[in-house]
Amino acid sequence: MFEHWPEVGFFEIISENFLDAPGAPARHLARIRERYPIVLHGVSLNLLGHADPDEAYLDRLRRLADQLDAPFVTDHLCWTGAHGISHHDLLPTPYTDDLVALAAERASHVQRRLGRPFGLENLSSYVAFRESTMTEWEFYTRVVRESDCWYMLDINNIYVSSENHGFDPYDYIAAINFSRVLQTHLAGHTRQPDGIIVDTHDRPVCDEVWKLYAHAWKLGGPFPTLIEWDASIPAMPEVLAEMTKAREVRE
Amino acid sequence: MTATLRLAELQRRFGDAIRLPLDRGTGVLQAQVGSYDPALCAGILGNARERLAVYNRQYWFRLFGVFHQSYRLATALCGPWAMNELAASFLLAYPPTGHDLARAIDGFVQWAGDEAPDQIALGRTAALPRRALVEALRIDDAYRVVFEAPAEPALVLGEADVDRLSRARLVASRSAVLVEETWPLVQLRRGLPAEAAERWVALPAPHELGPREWLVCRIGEAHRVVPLSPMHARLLRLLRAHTLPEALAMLEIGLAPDAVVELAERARRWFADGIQLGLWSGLEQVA
Repeated sequence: MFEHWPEVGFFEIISENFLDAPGAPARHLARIRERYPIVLHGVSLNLLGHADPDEAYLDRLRRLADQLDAPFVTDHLCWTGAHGISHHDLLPTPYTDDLVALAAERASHVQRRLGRPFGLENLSSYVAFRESTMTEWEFYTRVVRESDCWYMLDINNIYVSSENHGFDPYDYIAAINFSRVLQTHLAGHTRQPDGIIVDTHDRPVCDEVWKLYAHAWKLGGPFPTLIEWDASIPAMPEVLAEMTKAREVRE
Repeated sequence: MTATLRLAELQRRFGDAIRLPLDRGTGVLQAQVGSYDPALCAGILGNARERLAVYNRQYWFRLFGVFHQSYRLATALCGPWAMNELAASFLLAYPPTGHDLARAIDGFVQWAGDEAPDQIALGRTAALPRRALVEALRIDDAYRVVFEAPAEPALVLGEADVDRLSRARLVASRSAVLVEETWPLVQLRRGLPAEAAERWVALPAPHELGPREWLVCRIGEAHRVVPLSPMHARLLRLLRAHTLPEALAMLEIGLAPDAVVELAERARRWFADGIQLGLWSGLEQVA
């Protein structure tokens, strides 16, 4: 990374890895920030946890965002911990009217506390609840609209969930108001022997996801695009090749 | 029931399911899908148990990955299977509570020293003494502490400071840690691949002449390990609580006159090396 300084528009960091960042990670981040904008992407906000958002965590997140002059901050429309335990996973809830209201109120609060646009990311999910009274995209779009927040649209997650739950990913894309999309994610996934697809971020983006991305771009581009590859990470040229492919798909 | 109360109930049941320990009985870690709460499963569409198992496996394998990465040396000595068992026992007692996944290991070294079996079973015949496990964990921790230490300006001694050395304590830099080993583990760790590897490495024979000490420190962004003689290590430990003249006086107790002269010469060299390695970040006036 520090040898090649790739030609990319920005980098995204996992916020939690750099909150009160110690030593070497902080120094590496500072070097990257000297050359590129950095956006913050969290995995522990726990927006749909049973407890209210952790204000001390929001304070630290705001400090980091200010320090990096991050143009926006994103996290997931999910829960991550409960009853004092962090599961370090992005866990779904039922999709109901009262949870739209709860998520929207909290997301709006988070956006105010962060003092910059706050984007919500859609999940890859492996379970769906009988209690749900609406589709995932109805839930997602309503929370974004009612909170006056933004979309952090993960195209791969739409595909993964569509395969796992049997819906049409193009219906999902059609419901998105692209004027509210801060950023999109692309990533690789893994199909298990039992057919469930797991969002693994450990391989190239598949053809179906590229097609969905091209469709989204046609409907609502331009928007910033990020390749997520954070497991079994290959050499930088292979990751950059995915970025080049994204440019080609758009053209 | 309010939305948050409903969430609290769902999340209690869901959390219990995904933290269920994986079964080791078949020689492959498997989710115990039959043990999931029937009421939770009834609320999930499709094959609820197989779907919950995805989260159950992810919870454990994500955490095991953190332990393997954080404790490369200890994982190599135990093998990943035994390390997973130790990590699972620890995490069942102390599940992660913070925002940062990397902090899930906090308290593990202490726990291993107090709670791990005296002999860690490695397959059917081999075993690793708990003492060796704890030593390896401490060495791994030293590397992490040094990596995470904030950048501090190293002590630069001017002429006035040399005079102050008799009345002031040296402030130890956070990017230097002393470790002791009974077995040649520091060298073993240096030979391990950078990424956690799924292979077991035998515990080498202990040092013939008793434990050795090393300094793990950072030069620029790179780790460096420096072997220490017993006297050198003792001096560095004494300097944490005493001024340089006090520490030297303590070292001299019981030494023959010619050994005292030799110690003074060696101490001057160690001190100069320490300045160069950035072992100290300042001087602190003794009250």
